[in-house]
Amino acid sequence: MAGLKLSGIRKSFGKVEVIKGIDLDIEDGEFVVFVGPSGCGKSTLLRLIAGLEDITAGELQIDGKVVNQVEPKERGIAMVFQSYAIFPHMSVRENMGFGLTIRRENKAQIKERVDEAARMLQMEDLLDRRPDQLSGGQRQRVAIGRAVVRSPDVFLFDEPLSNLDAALRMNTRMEISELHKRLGTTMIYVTHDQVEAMTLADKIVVLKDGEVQQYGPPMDLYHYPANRFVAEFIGSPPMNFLTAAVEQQADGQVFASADSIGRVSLPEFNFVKPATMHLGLRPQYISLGEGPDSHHRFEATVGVTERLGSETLINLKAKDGTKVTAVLPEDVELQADQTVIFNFDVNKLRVFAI
Amino acid sequence: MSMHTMSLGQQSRLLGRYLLLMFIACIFIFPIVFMMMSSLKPDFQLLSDTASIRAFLPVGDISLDNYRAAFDRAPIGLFIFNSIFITATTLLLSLFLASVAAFSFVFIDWRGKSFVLAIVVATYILPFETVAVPLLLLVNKLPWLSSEGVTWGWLNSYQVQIIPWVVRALEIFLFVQYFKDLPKDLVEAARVDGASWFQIYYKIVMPLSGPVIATVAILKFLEMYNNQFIWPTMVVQEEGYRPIMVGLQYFFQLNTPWGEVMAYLTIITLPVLVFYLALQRAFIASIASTGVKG
Repeated sequence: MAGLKLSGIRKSFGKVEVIKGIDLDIEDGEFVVFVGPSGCGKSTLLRLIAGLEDITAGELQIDGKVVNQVEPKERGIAMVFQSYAIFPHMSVRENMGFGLTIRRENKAQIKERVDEAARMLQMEDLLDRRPDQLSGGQRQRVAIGRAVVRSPDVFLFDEPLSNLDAALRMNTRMEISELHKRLGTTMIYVTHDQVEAMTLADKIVVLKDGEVQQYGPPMDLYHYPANRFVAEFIGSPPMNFLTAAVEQQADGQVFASADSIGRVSLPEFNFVKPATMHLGLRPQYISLGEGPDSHHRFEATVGVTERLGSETLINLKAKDGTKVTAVLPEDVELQADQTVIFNFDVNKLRVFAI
Repeated sequence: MSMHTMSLGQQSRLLGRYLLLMFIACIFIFPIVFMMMSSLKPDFQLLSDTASIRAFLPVGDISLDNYRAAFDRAPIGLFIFNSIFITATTLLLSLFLASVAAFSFVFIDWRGKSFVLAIVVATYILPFETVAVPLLLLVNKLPWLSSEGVTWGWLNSYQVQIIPWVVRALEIFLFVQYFKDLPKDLVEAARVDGASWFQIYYKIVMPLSGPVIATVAILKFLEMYNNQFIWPTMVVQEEGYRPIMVGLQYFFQLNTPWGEVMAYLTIITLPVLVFYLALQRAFIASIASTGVKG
């Protein structure tokens, strides 16, 4: 078991800097997810932690020790690869025991630990198979099993679910979550899927262009995104953005005026100076009708309706033509081109600099 | 597709294709058949038979006399032993050293490796003849540790026929190309799991490299067994270390005994056929998978 500390970590490939100074504290036992679009450096960051790439600048500590120059095998980590990286010429049992065999542990003990991990992952019947006799989900299990057997201080997962179909993905996601609960080991998990990030993480690191955009618990990121990028990336469907002029009245009240939704008060916003800004509003916070008196109302024209079963996505066009998405209950009935009144709680509005 | 569902046109196309393949196969097989049949015939019949189809048939005065005479003329067993020993030793050393070098070029990061690889591959364009004389001067001055202590100069020995041939650019290049196509994740997974570079080499990479090992083995075998003539002629004067191709010279004299030549060639061809048949499956698989032609 170990915590990690990243201080000013940088990584360049030739002249291209892909990790631009990252500071992170990961506590012992935490489940941390690195999330971001492709090319944001999340996998590279994981590989730096694993020791598969050299750190260009900065310091990486695992369990209080600087490990910049330490070989991967000495770092107390186990890694699950996107491709699973199962050795095709070994049986499942040999694959899972590989790390222990390499360390010349005694055979009885290897068998015991492989059996135990197999029991935990419910894959005892697979142990004598060859990798080419396994399905994608089973291979995934073997890869996780191989990591579990080594009882590492830190688990690293590099997009482990991206090659699975949707149903299996959800299952395995829950299993990984359970595994974390059971083992209590520090886990670092890379994904581009914000749903995986939200459901698995104790803390999420949102990355973009090699820099941390925000680091914190999932619901903090959801409710208080640090910038427009995080706001757009976390939450599905993505947050709506409306351009508005923000100004302060003589009585101190801050207001935003948008052509799309009119004039809104921003009770939670600390005013700086008049400026054009983006208002962020999650589709889930928009309701049909006039709503309570404290809510703000706006008129919009109904566009395409997408029924997802449990809820309905409505694409709206605000007065000035701005597109707005609303998530409404499953049974809502709206005609296309109909102009309707919607409302939302102004406290849910977020404000972002442009 | 079964024969029942084939149209007449498809059937005749298939027939045409088989006939063509048979014709090509014959072109390759006939010289070998000719060699084997001729080895059984006395010289005058052998030469007169070449004018007709009889050249490929065991007809006329058939005997093993040529084989007896060939064994009397040259120490064939010794030559074959020498060639097989030289070939096998070179082959094993070559497989090991070339694959280790390629492993380092592909999987380990070190400064200047692409430059070094470029130089190594570039040496492939040098024909052996251009380095033969400098190499001769070199091996003539090298030390060797034997039961008699340190001796100088490698002439008249096995090592002079083995060591210069162990690693050539082609083998390294073939391994490099194959290793590059192996999933890097496997190597990285093994590293994270605690394997040393050498453990990764022999526990992960080599067990997955069957096709390229077979390719290199066959190319090296052919190079060492079939094509060693100029160099042994230069560095070996004693009969005891001579390989088969130098042995062939025993038969080319004023009146070449063609029947004996054919008998000798038949004998020395057998190990090639055995070796090729043993590795045939792997060899074909490797041509299919690497796109490298032998």
